[in-house]
Amino acid sequence: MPRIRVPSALRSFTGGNSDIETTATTVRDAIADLERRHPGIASRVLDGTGMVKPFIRIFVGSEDIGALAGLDTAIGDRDEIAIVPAIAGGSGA
Amino acid sequence: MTSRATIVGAGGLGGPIALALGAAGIELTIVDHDVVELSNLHRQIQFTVADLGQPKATRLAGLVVARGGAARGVVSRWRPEEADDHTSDADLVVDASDDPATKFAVADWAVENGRFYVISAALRYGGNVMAGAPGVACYRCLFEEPAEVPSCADAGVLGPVVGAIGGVAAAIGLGLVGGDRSLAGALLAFDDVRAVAEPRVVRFVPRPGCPACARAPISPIATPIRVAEGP
Repeated sequence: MPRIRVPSALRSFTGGNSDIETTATTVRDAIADLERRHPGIASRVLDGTGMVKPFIRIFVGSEDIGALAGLDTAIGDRDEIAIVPAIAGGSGA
Repeated sequence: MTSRATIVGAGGLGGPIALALGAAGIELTIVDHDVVELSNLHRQIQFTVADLGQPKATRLAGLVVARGGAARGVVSRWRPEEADDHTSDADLVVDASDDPATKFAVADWAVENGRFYVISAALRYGGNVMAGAPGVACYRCLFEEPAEVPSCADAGVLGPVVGAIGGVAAAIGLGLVGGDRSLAGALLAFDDVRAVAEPRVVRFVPRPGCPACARAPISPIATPIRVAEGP
């Protein structure tokens, strides 16, 4: 079953879980599935038009979905979807 | 010939990066506007209580010199319009700041001037390190524009995490100036270094219309360079 790797910044939505299994067959459906089970999380990943926010990247395995079929990228049983947000911390303050 | 690097930020990430690069014989310019505060010491372990109130940039440069390295500190925010004063001779620029806009500015400057660069960030239990080089997709291809994202001051960071992420950033920077481009154009994402020390290594493609790449002397869009597979 495909897995969604949830970054630490979004785990407050998933009760602290870092890995969420899904039956989805595309990245878009996987995010919708995530939203159904953990309401509010999709709005942290997608903008109001349903596009991936500019400071978020999504990978299937090590492949950027931007180089595949975007949110319509197909996912297989063994695939892992990683949501990778930009982070700013440099521990300067 | 001696390599030169500019390190932007002398805090939790900048400390281990500067000490490692300085010990490797790279001449450093360290840019940071801030002073050492008591609340910094648990994660900025290059400093002691004797450093309180002193500028981080010059204090860290002094520590590099005390270990036999060559470094100077510049007490200022890094701004691209002032880069000619302290970054123009750098072969490598390493961002270790805690400001999204600065990360983009450093990356854009490096892309436009054809330099190697490393963008590092740490938060809570993990962090990201991106290796940049001429001819590959850039930081702005990856994240497009600065956003309101949490900083260490907002969300916290486990002290040892910045040491781990800073060490990786230094190692990647050394690799780049030494001619190893195997990670150029890759992002190393460390989700939680308490649980898994291995990063997820992801590669991304040049983004059509990227304004930074449009100003690059070697466009990754017009002349894409294939990079070797990472570990």
